[in-house]
Amino acid sequence: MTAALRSPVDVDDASKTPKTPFLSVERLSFDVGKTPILRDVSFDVALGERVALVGLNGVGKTTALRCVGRLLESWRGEIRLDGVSVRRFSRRDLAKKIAFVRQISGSFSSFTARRLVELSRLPYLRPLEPLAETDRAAVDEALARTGAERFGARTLDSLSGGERQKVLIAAAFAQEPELLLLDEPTTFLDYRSQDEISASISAWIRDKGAAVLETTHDLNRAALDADRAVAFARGKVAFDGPAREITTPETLDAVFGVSFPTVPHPATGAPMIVPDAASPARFSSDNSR
Amino acid sequence: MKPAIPFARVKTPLFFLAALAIATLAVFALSLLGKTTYSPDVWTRFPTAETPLAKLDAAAKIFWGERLPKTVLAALAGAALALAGLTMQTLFRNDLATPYTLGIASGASFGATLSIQFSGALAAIGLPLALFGVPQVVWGSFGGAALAVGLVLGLSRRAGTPERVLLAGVATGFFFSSLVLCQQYLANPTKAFAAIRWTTGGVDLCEPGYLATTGGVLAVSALYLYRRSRELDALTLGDERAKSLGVEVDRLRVALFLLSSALVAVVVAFCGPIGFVGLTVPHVARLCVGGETRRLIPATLVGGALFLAVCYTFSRIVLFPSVLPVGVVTSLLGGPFFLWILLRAPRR
Repeated sequence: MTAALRSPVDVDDASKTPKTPFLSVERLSFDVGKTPILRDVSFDVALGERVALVGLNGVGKTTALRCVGRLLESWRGEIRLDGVSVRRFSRRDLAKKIAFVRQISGSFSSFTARRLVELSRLPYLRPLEPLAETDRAAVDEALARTGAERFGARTLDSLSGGERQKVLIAAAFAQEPELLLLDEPTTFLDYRSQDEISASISAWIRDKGAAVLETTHDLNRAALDADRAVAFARGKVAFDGPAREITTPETLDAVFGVSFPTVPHPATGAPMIVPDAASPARFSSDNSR
Repeated sequence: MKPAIPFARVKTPLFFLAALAIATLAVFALSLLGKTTYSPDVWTRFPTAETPLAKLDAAAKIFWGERLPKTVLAALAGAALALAGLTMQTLFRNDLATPYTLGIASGASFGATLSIQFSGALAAIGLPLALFGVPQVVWGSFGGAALAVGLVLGLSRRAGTPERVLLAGVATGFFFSSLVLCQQYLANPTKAFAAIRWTTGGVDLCEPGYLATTGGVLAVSALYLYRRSRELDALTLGDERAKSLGVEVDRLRVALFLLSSALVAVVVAFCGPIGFVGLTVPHVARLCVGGETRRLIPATLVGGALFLAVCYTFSRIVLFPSVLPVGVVTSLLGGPFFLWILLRAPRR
């Protein structure tokens, strides 16, 4: 990674100026059993860019994230980081480039929030090597960025959903990746937590010049927060363009097979979807597969 | 704010040393207890080259020749079983995963009885009774344990949910237990008598090689797990998270699988299957020192050692001169104790 690429990037310009892709996904296909989930999906993400993956439930957004993070291995096509296939990285080296945040399930109750964030330094440490000053600094900074330092000493199971998500995002920051993969980072959270978390992600991208690829089903959120949106429909890329265009009636109809009324956002002017009264006649087709 | 975890502030190396010291002292003290309780100065009359065990006074003879080695074996076996329980709970990400509930102990029993059954045949085809200084029965029980773990891992990969993993384990356990019983019915009486030892656990037979083998396997396992403790922590958070933190999860799983099989195998081969240690001790350790593997390992080792050493001492005193099988005592003492711990712990 060169220093020039890592330098902070002005987020406002991100959607206008073309940049060298950091992540490039080329003709990615993935099947579950005999059912194709992704078919020849291609898109890319540049450093300094925040890209939202959108689409109906079950369309393969999370699957695409897991392929990129090599949590799924049996995909076809090519995924490159800086021109190098992700398959050529060792897990450890890949962990220094890519962090993945997904709601953790399972028993993690006896971990404190701080301990979880410290664990993110794992790829940088030899076995039994204690945390160095730089590691502690990275952990402190990450906790401060999401505002999670207030409950660092508490165990994860005593935290609310919003607090826990802040800890998980802080853990990803502490891993110091160049590409952060987020699976529904603000889903199920109250509006205030959504705003806080989203703002901390944008600030992190701005300061570190890193890239974020996130899945979301909240199109308004995507239109406001992301630089670019990539929409999947029937296993293929149905839209790839500036995030604020994802909520236009044409895109909505192409991606979701349904149109919604929109109103312009008072500050940015981006079209915001407002719910419509239930009426089955509005749905044009099943766009999930 | 009061820390929720009692020993959260004690530093790990200090904690390790303190734990080791407590265990050593306890084993020594427990060996003094009995029908006649000896004064601690028996410590000074240890067997040497000039004064072998046979020439010592009665108290020293019983202390050094009987009580101490058997209590040490009980302590080592307890530590090994508790560590195996901790490893399996990490491997299966399930608090109820133990050598017993997953059928591993039964698998090991089966392997051990099988190897005794066919010891004559094995010797006939030129297989040595001990390989790398490890008795054949240990290899047999290791094979059985590995078979059982492999079966449960294979089934759980297809079945997925924790409940199903346990069901697969319980089924595997019953299956192997039945095989052991079948063998006993089919075997000739003298061999069947020998095989009974592998269905009820105890430390009444303690041959010189037992301590070294158990201690060796235990030391290697504990050091390996301690070295990998950060990766084990990551593994408790899920395969995906561990992978994205750079852990080679599949390789680590194979290592954990072999280690837990080896730990259970030595204990079953020498002492038979002893229940409850693998379930109770890691759980209590987690309540005392928290979920961090680096601290859980010493706590689990010492907890297991103390628990089984106390149970053994109790088992040889309570019905003197007959000795209750220690496996009976672990459940008898362990069951209510475990319930008490569960009930007084705050609800999550």
